[in-house]
Amino acid sequence: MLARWQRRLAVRQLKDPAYRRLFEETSDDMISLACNTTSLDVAEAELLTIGAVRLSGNRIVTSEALDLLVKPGRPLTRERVGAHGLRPRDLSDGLDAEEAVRRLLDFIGGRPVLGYYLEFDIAVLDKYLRPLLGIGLPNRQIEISGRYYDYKLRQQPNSRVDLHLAALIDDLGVPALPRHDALNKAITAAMLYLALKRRGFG
Amino acid sequence: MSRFDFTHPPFDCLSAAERDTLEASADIVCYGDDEQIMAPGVPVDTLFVVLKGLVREMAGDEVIAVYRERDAFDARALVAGHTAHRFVVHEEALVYALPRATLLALTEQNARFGAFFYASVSQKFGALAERSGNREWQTLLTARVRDVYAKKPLFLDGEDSVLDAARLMKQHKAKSILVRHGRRVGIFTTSDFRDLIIDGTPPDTSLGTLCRFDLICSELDDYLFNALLTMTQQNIQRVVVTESGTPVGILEQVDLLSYFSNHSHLIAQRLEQADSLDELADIAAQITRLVEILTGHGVRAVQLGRLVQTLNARLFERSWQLLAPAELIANSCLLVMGSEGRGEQILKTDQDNALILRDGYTCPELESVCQAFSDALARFGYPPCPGRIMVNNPDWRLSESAMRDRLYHWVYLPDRDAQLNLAIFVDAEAVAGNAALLERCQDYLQQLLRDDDSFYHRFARAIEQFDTPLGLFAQLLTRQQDGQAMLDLKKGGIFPVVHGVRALALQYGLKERNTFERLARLAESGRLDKELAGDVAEALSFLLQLRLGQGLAALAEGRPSGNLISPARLSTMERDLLKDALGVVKRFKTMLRHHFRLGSL
Repeated sequence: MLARWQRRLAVRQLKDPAYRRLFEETSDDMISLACNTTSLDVAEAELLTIGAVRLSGNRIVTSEALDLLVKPGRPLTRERVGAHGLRPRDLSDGLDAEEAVRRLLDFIGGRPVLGYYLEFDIAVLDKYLRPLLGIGLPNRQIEISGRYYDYKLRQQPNSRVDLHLAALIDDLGVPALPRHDALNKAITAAMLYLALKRRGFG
Repeated sequence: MSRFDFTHPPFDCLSAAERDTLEASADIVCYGDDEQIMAPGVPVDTLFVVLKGLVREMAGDEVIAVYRERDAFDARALVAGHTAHRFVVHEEALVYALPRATLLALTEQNARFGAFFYASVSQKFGALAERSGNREWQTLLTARVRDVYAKKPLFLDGEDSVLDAARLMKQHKAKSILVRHGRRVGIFTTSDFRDLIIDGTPPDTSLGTLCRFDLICSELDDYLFNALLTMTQQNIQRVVVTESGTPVGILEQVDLLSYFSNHSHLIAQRLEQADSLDELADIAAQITRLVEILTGHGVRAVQLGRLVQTLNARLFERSWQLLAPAELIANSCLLVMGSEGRGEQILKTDQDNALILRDGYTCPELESVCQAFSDALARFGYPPCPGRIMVNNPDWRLSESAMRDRLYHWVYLPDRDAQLNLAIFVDAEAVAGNAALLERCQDYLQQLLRDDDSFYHRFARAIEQFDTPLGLFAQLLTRQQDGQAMLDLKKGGIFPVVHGVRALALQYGLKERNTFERLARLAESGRLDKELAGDVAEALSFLLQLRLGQGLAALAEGRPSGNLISPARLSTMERDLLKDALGVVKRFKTMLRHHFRLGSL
């Protein structure tokens, strides 16, 4: 009830009617999403890369993945370069943030989005979305760590659940990808989701 | 951007750009237990690479291959566009799905990559064998200075003394050294010392004033033959080896001659002229060296087998001639059996031999002569046969009629060893004496067997004795030895093929002994599917090659050569091919099972 009311409010607040379709869940497909940012503090964080990939049934459509580079508004600090391995020159031919976010919205359409600690990524994205749409990303969100927590708790009630990404990868038997760029994170999340789905927690 | 590891075959022969193209077109698919990925009747438009999990390939109810991490399935199906087998997930699998169109475009663009996607295994093996110098005599003509010359050159300075030279040459057992003097390079040899003594030159004289600078050279890539010609024409014992004109070492006549002396024609000639067992023992060792050299030149196990068979046959014949009185030779037939008879024994693994005597002929020294012959072979490096299938065993030196009786018993009143004995006798080849004796016995065997289908059924059943080590839970089933996983090439692959082909050859009365010739004849006469015959031949050739390679390595380490290999020590490509080869063996066994109705009874 509350959710429906919030939705209706969001639709009314939407500035650009072209994005009405974000509210229309069209198929069973989903989008796995991940970003790299300049900071781990939402207030400071700026987008650097966006990776997204569509899940269609049991298939991760990596052949049509979205892999975007964003030109940051402020110069990068040295320590963050170490964290994500992107140098200023790597980003110089990136897209303007607005253009990147619009492409992402086109890619997502009405599909639900999923990710690992998605909350942070969405919070950063919403900073860019609000000026454009008047609202944050309205799509349904699936949190991998949450699903994994439910799965583990069902298996072993009262146990502590290790929610580190490495623990999930290891436990669910998903291959560890060599590099941690945004698209690889999105693909990893997608593989984890499919593994959870097999176990009844999709 | 390489998201996934493409460093394994066949993808490792793609360029970085090609890998990116492939990756950009790939999807990841997740399958649950027992889900079917490909099946007969469904078009195949995807090549799958396992990222995680296990997938089994099924022909009917039989598992013929298992795919695990990094394995691709199925190249043949992809090219054909359909598959006769079912590919079923054995353990939850994440696979990379590569679209057919992109792959086929890449196979056209990249020949090495394409080689992996040819329709049949046979061609795939052929691609591996794409090596130069397949024929032995060619190696003699095409060997280059580089092939023989391996020693590091010894250099001294022009200022160094004659005494320094003498010490250095003694230390390295060298017959010559090179001398750097200013911009020139000279040579100083042992024969120069002779002249020094004669001339009374003091030992502290500098080399620069004594050595010769008019060097006679051979380039590193020049033919060895030319180097030999140069030495002969100039009447010298060595040439200076140069690389792009710069001296890099010395090629001694001794090295060159020893290289040529390991050549089969020369070995054959020596065999003809040998008149003592000592000499023959020497030559027997030379045959093994020849195998090493030719393997190094890329001559394949199949051709080597035939060559070695020819040489061994002469070695046997010559030894027999030296030991046996002429009368015995004329009245008997010495035969080699089993792998030696088929021409598939490259390294000396056992001495399966026998003697058939003309009816009514007796020879008082027979026993001692035969004992001496078996001893001689043991000395040549043939380990005595554990089943004592040798002429020094009275059971294996029989008169013609006794041999026939024996055959009759083996066929109709078989005891424990009858099948084995028959099997090796079927492969017998005469090496000395009166070959007609053997021929008549073999004709007799054919007569005995005519139209007796139940015999072939019993005979062929031996292929079921050992499982092909390609199992459900691992690609290659191995057994542990000294903490290492080992796989028996003979039991798992070579024996079923050789014996199956032997059973077919016996049934259709083929005169050929060699497995490859038998296969060719069977395919020619339509008795065996041509494609299967080709695949089986290539698979066997690969298995023999593998066994030879590991046998030579074992000999080099002073261990006896055997049939066990450690798959972990193979390259990924070899492991892939081994899997393919064993898959073919399984297919062949299935066909034989059907043909000889091994399922019944």
